[in-house]
Amino acid sequence: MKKVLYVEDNQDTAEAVKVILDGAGFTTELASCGRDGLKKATNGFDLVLLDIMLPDMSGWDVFEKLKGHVNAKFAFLSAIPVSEERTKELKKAGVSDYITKPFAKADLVKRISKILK
Amino acid sequence: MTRSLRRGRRSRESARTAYRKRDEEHLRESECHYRTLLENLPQKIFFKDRNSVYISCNENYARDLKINLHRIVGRTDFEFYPKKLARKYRADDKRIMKSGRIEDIEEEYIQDGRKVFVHTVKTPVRDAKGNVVGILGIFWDITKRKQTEEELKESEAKFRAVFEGASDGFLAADAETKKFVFANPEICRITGYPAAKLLRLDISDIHPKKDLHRVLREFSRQLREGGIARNIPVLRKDGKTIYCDINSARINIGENDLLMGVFRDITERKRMEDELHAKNEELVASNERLKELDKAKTEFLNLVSHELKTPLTAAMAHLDILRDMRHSDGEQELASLDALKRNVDQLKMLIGNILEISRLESGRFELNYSSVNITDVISAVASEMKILADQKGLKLECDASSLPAIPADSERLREIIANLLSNAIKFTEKGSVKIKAHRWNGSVLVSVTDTGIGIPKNRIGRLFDKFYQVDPAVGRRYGGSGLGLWITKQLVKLHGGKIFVKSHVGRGSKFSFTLPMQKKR
Repeated sequence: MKKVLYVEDNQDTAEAVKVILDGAGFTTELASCGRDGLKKATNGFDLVLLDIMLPDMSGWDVFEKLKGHVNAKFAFLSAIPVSEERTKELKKAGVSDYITKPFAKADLVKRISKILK
Repeated sequence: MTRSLRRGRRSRESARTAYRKRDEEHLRESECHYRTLLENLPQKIFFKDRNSVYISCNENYARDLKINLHRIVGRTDFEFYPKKLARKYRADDKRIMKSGRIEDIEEEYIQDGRKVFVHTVKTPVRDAKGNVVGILGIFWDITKRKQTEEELKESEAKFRAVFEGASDGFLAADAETKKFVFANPEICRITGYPAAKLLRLDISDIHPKKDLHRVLREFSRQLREGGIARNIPVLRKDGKTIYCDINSARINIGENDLLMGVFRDITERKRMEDELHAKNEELVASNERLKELDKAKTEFLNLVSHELKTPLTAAMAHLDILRDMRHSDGEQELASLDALKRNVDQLKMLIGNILEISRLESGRFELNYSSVNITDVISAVASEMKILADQKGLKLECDASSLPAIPADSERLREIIANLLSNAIKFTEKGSVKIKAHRWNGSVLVSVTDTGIGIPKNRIGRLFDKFYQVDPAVGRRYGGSGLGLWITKQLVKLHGGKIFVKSHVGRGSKFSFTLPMQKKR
């Protein structure tokens, strides 16, 4: 079973995503801030899903710090819109997907499954 | 008569004759000398009798008249000159012979059909008894001198016209003493000094003391190389300072070594330039402010959209979960419904706040004034908040009795107090929240004190900024939008009051605001 770490400070969103992903057959763990995410990320996850506006640091910072140190894929789930160009750059940098909020449940499951196939 | 006597008489006579002969010879000789002298003088010389008829002249004059020297006798000026000129000569002759005085006359004369100027000296000639019997004239050509004089006069007139009529001030100073030696009317107008006074001053008198060093440096530079000294302050007689561009050149007049300065009053130009410069700076500054404002607006819009999306995301996600019938877990259903309610409430509050902000910012926000019993408002809000305080085990104290009715918008006043009280309860985990109101300096001072987490000193300055949250994690946990304090401050300001905050991390905060007892005009 694929393991997902979701770093998100909004508790309601975090819990909803956990219910959705767990329901789709993944095991989801939650972290409520950047520091919490960095700490938990070493526990062998297949995917680290990151919000960007975190209270202590940005999701980018978490990604930069973890990249190369953990054997996981990375994706963002954020309300901040990005251009297609930027999405391409991110993919080059090792980000598997950039999903914008608000999301539809089916789309979220489809895209996470695609990353973890 | 004896022979000897006769002989004696004869010898005396012959001696006399001899003397006479010798005298005559002397006379002839002297006349010859005299004639040679006359002939060789470069001047023209003539004699006329009492009736202005020529008796003789020298060769030089005869040549002018194109006549044989000996044929001048018996002729008059009317035979040689135009009538008008001849009449004038005759009149001069008559006058001089009558007065018996020598006269120097500068006059016109015709030579080779050309008009020339001559200087004539006419002297009355007297006989042995002293009677005037004629006139002696000597004259010479002064056309060249006259021309030079005329040219000089003309050039001086031109020069004077340029200086007097110039729209620039001309002021010459002695290179060494720096005393003024020449001033035109325009420099008098510029400096406010009459010319006579200006010529008693020197360079140190017409410049402000503090600028004198620079002025003297420019003076020396201009003596060396000339050129323009710009923006030179000039101290007028009336004490006003004006500004001139001074274009100078070193000139020598006779023995005098001078610096001639041409002053152009640029005060008005400078004032306009300064004004333009200031306006430009103002524009740049206002442009900067606009840019900042634009940036702030963009940031605000980004934040608004982000803040709106956050509860929307949670709400939609929970809706998706609820719709999916595979989750028949009752517990999850309830949790999702709770989350949905929370997030929809959050959205409603946010939208309300944003609408309020846009009205506050556009200046369209109007208070609905009435006479408000502030004690009642405080008590009402406090009792509403008591439920929240009780939930957290906090003591809510209220001290606001015997206050006057004040002019205020009761709804907005309720909003202000509710905002501060809910914040205090939100950020306090144990202890108490106290609301107090009393008269202070013509106002009512309302303060809300808590024993909560407090605000770090470096965050207090931004506390009233839009969307500012001291700790976003805490803010989001409690459903804060980061707009409440900004709105609170604007509402207090609209009432003509002020808001203050005092806080110590770990010990609590005190928010106070004033409400004037007289309506803000």
